[in-house]
Amino acid sequence: MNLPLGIKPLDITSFTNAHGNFTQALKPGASFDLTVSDPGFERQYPSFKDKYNQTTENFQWLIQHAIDNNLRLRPMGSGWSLSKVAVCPDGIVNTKKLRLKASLGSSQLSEEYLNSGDPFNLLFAQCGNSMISINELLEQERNPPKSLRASGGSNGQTIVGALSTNTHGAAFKFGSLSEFVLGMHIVTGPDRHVWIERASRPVTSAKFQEWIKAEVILDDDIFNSALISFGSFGFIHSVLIEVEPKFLLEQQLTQIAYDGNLEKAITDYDFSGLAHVLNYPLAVANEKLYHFELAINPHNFEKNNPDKGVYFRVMYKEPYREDYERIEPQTQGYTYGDDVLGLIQKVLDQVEVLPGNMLDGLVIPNAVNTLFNLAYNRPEKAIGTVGETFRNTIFRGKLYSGAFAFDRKDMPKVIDIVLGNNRNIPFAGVMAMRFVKGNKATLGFTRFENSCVLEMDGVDAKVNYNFSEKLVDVLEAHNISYTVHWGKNNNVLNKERVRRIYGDAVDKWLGHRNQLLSASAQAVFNNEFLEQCGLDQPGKILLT
Amino acid sequence: MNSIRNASLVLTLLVMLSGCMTMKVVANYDTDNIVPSEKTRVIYLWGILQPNDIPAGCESKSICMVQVKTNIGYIMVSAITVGIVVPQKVVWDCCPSQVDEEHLD
Repeated sequence: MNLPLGIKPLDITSFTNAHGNFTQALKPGASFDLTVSDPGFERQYPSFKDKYNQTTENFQWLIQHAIDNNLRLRPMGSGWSLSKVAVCPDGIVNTKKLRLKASLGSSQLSEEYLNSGDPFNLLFAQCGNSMISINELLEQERNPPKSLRASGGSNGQTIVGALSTNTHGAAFKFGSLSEFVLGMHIVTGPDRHVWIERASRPVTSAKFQEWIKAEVILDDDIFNSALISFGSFGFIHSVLIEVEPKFLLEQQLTQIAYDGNLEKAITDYDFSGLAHVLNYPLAVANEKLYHFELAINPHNFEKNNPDKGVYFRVMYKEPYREDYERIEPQTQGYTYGDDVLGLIQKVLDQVEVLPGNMLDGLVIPNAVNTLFNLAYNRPEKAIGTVGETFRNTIFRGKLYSGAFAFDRKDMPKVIDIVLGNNRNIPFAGVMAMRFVKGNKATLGFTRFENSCVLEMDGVDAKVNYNFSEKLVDVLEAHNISYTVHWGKNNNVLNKERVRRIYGDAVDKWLGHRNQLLSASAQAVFNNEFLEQCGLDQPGKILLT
Repeated sequence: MNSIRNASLVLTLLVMLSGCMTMKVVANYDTDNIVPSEKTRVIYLWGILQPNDIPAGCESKSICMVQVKTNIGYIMVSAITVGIVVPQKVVWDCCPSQVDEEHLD
């Protein structure tokens, strides 16, 4: 096959995701690498503009190739998703070598943006830039230095992979990663690519739009649909993101009782009952608080008992200064091995099939209690930049990780339901609640104005899948609104549930997808996950 | 006979339940590949005969992470042959190429 410069064959017949919980078989010869740093490509396309525009054409070539050969393709970032949202049975396209990035000068920006924003607070980045590399660029190379405004709990994802599955973090006053996106360049077909911005916040100038050679769409609704589209709206070639002056996050981790005072913080962000715990006087703490998260070991939990309470983890946002003690990664001692969770899974799955199984209730709490301290071996106090704080994941090897989002007001009831569920089906893992400001994305996972994400991380064993299925049944029986993370274990999602969760927003999303992608292009980007969720069918085009 | 059967059972369980033993050397947790490269090679005669160097095949000409893996099978082969046959598995991730930020104006 004669491939254009910048596209290389990716000789794989299967793909295992980063957390090792599934392997997707692939068609031989159907997967590709895209690159801007191959020596031949660099010689042929020496300038930024040449490289960038040729890569747009390469994306288009891949879509045409897929249409001609009746293949399905999905763009792949770091492969962190635990669901099969980012794969299909034919081919995948590695985007991790697409690392062009640029700052924009005033001539590239709209009058509206220049009147209200700072050009130095923008970063134009190709999809394959990892969160690690963006943090390094912003914090160490930019002058003046900058910070990402939000981050997931760790930093291995690519920028587009992370934001388009609604990676959220716990910036409860700011929101998820998608909130810092101001523009997106999406290659939607073999002869179409679009630059999308919100009409309510135009950012780029005609000069930039001519440079990128894309059809320009200024539309809030289309922007919000494309924002959380998990690779279904085509290849997101690049994004324009807004950053801010470099800042520090001062962490505080302490074990406290789950009591009425904590419940007020959970349901109203009222920290007054926890004033004695906070590092600062209440008024100052309220001003500085940036990150709010709680970790729970469901097998060692009791309300109003500080010894069996929750790990209260907050971060205060501070202006950057040089004189602080850097967080050093742990290089001494031991942690659990990459295969430990996989081995526990094998044992649990064997135990599961025994008639009259009573062992889960014995094995799981003991295993979780042992591993909890290893996994949450974090300092009580630490200070660092976003890049220094949110590093490589603490979890190793084959993993189950599911996440549901709720309105924070529902959390006391949800916690009771989760703990009740845990008594019937012990969850082989630990839980965390992360508080996030909601987003306006059409299919946003963090769609509640004040979202609380319940994360459940543990062993990839059948018992945990059973746990989440039962949990959803009970939540629905109690009529509690919830959403399910697109990029995590979400076996509970199906067409009916997606419709029940998102209602008419599903039609909106499908309509916008249909507006941007031809039927043949939609077929290229369809996968089993979209079919399972009822998101593969062409929707009615919504004229805006 | 029973003791042989029991020993075989224990051995089978060990092999089934044990995983890879891994040691990682990390320069940076970043990579430009979505599937790590890996090779299994055998060292013979206590290192007198060893495999040729493995080309990393990285576009950036640099490696960000190397893992050395072994398992109970490899250990047994090494032990039974008293080091005459030592299989080893190495897994590596290529660093991304350095692409500097540009300024568009």
